[in-house]
Amino acid sequence: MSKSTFQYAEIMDSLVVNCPPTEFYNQETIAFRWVFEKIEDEENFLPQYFKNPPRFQNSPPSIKCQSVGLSFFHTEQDAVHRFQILTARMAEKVRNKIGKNVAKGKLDKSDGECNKPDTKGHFTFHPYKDSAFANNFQITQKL
Amino acid sequence: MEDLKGITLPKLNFSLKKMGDFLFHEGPIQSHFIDDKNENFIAFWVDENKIVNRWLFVKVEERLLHQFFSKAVNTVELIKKNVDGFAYLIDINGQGEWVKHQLVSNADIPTTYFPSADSYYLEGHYEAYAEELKIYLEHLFARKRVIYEVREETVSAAHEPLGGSFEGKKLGL
Repeated sequence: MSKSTFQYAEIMDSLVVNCPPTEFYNQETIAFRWVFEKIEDEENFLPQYFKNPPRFQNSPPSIKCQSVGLSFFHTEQDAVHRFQILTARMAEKVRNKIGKNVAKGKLDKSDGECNKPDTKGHFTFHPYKDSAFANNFQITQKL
Repeated sequence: MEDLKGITLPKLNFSLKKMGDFLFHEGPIQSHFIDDKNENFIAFWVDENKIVNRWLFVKVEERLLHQFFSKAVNTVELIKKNVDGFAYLIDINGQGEWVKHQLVSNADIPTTYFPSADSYYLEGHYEAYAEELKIYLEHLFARKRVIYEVREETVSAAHEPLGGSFEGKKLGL
């Protein structure tokens, strides 16, 4: 599928790397994501690149590509464990900037492309334009 | 944003080059930099508002970094045992410009800028760059030997015995 179908194609196409990388593919899967207090929060499914542009100004293209994608986890346990590991090592002041709850939902093949989960159960998802995948997600537990 | 008790500098009198990230989740959280003299700085994302992100930079010795990767010190100690006794708090705006530089003594770093006491290095949870640096430091400190000076009259004690007696004894074993 052409890159122009991605939701953030304008940025992805401007990078001097393949974005998403060639190993990304369409997959139907249950996925878990850190979200804020309410599932309706518009920032829940907004990539970090847009939430916080200063953090990426001097980043290499591969990082910018990753940052216009969304982080998901393969299992709920992976999502909780990674949150605990990461926030214990972050300044207390910014811990709640990355999420407060876990949400569960389904990603369809028509929603976008993702890579295989890494050893931490984490994978990145690049949504297609007009995908309504976010509507499938519901909060399952507090972090 | 926390109000800081420190000295505001017009700019830094050295430049920093980013080497890689230690922790990353949809963006950098903890990173490694070096200055013009190849000295090590660790940077921590500690605060933000709608205009800037604030990063805390501390200069650290290689040995302390090695201790961190060996789990002898945690992230809090990595910050507090910095070389200078102070940290640089840098505010970075939306254009990536370093708009404010504040020098804050260790004692005046806000408590909310520290991670928890359980912030030891953990294999498999840091970025690949951190794992590579860990291996580099392990090699670096494994190679180092302490050299002791000895008095001249005692040097012969470190040599093999003269006259072949040593060799003979070995053969007789």
